[in-house]
Amino acid sequence: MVYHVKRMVAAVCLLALGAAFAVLSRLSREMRLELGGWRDGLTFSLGVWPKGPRAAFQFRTGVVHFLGRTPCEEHVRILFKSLDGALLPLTGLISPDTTFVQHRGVLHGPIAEGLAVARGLTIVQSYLLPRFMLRRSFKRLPEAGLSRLLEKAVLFLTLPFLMVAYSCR
Amino acid sequence: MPMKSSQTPFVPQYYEFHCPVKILSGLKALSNLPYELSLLGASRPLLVSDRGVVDAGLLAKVQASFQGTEAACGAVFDGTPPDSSVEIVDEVASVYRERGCDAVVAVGGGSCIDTAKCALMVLAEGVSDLKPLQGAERMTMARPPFVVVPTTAGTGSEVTGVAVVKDVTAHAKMAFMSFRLLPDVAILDPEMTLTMPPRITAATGIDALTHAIEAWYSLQKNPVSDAFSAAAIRLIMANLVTCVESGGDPQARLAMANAALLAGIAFSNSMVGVIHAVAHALGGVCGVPHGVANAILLPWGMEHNLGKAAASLAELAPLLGASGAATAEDQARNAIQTVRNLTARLHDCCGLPITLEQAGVARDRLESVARATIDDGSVTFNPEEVGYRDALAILEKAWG
Repeated sequence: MVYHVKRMVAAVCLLALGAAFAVLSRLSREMRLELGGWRDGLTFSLGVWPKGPRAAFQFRTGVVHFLGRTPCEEHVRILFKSLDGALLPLTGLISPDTTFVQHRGVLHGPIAEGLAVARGLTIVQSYLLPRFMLRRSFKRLPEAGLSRLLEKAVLFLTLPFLMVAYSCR
Repeated sequence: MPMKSSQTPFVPQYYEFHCPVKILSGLKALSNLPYELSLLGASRPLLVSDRGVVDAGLLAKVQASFQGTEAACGAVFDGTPPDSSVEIVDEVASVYRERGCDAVVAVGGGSCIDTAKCALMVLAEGVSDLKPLQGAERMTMARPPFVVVPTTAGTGSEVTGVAVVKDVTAHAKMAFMSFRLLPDVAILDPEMTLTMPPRITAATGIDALTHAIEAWYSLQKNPVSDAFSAAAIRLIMANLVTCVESGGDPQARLAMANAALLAGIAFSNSMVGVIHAVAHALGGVCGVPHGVANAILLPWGMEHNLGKAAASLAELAPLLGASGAATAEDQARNAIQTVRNLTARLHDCCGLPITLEQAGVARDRLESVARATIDDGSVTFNPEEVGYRDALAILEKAWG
């Protein structure tokens, strides 16, 4: 029972993360700056070993597309070693960087592109989580400002609808 | 975040440590190579080396160790370049197959060892393309027996599960990490490093010191890696200058070989940080030798981490032989000054560059280096954030 609840929480978190990544790739100045260095067509996924929840993405024509659970031949894969380990970053208790520091996940694929994906995930986390949580898990807090506040407001207004839409994939 | 205190060892929330490598260290350690191969069920090893090692007569010493035993050299590959590539790896694997070898013995520095590791991957996985194996723990098959005889004292590659080679067509470096890449045996024989020139001795020695220091304050540090780091730092501070000034001292050479190995075990289990990230980028963009880059960057990288890792840096002071101070930050600054004094002394002894300008780096390349730095995996494990501006600031300070 507990396992199934955890699995469901992880799946919902991945859905939120996926929808937020897609929205922020259009909305956030910081994210667009990061994506400026990405190669077109890059596919990547996050998943729980061995057959846990997963989420796949593709960077195409300047934005990140959330592919949901659709199987794909990804260039970069971040694989969490256990469900418990996955829940730590997925619920924002640790940052994507700390995921690797604490051996909670492994990276398959080119390191430079894996790092770019991790930086993208860090930006997503910085929008989704409240500042007191970021203070605990981030090396440096993101700059606060009116434009960021507005971007956050748009993200949180659209996120529930997008999550419903993406959950059908 | 993990608990920190100057009195109690640092224990992180979670850590992993792995080092199954058998270590043979001491005078005539090399003579036990055939016996170790027999324990691994092998008798026809492929020797992977380079021309420099052959010309220095070091490969001949390895071959001589087979005399009077059932083992014989299966084949020799001595064409490893300083910056190895996928094509070289394929050549090594082909030689292994064609000559019916049953083990690989790497004799040389980091490039030879990494080439051997990648060839073992090709052989074990039966693949012709290494690209899909990039990243962590992609190797699934058991590999042939693997012994390493380092001829430098710096990389620590004889005890790490990491290999890096160039993909010439993609103009990119490919990195592979797997516990299956850890050698079965590492042989530290002082005779193998006696002929190393002073400047290379200094650069590789500082590389080992950088491994130990970065592992000491890395985010992935743990009590086991700390023990290895501390031992390595003490050995380096006591022996590096001796090795540079009197290269023929076998005891000092053996101590440095051990220090490099200990630092290798430390950093392969707690990783390195911003200094290595910038050094890798300097190597890629400007061709600065890795040890030279580390020598220049080490004090600046330590300083960059003063805010987040002052306590750990302060604990380094007694290991480095620096004086104590009233506050952790002052003591950390003393540790950094001791490192500066060491690199300045090495500069005087053998001309080891201590600024990027001295290393021939053009100032207008610093931005490209900073951009490459943030794509290096080592930044993840650095206590302080490392963005483009941080990397550029370090580079500008280190320039001159």
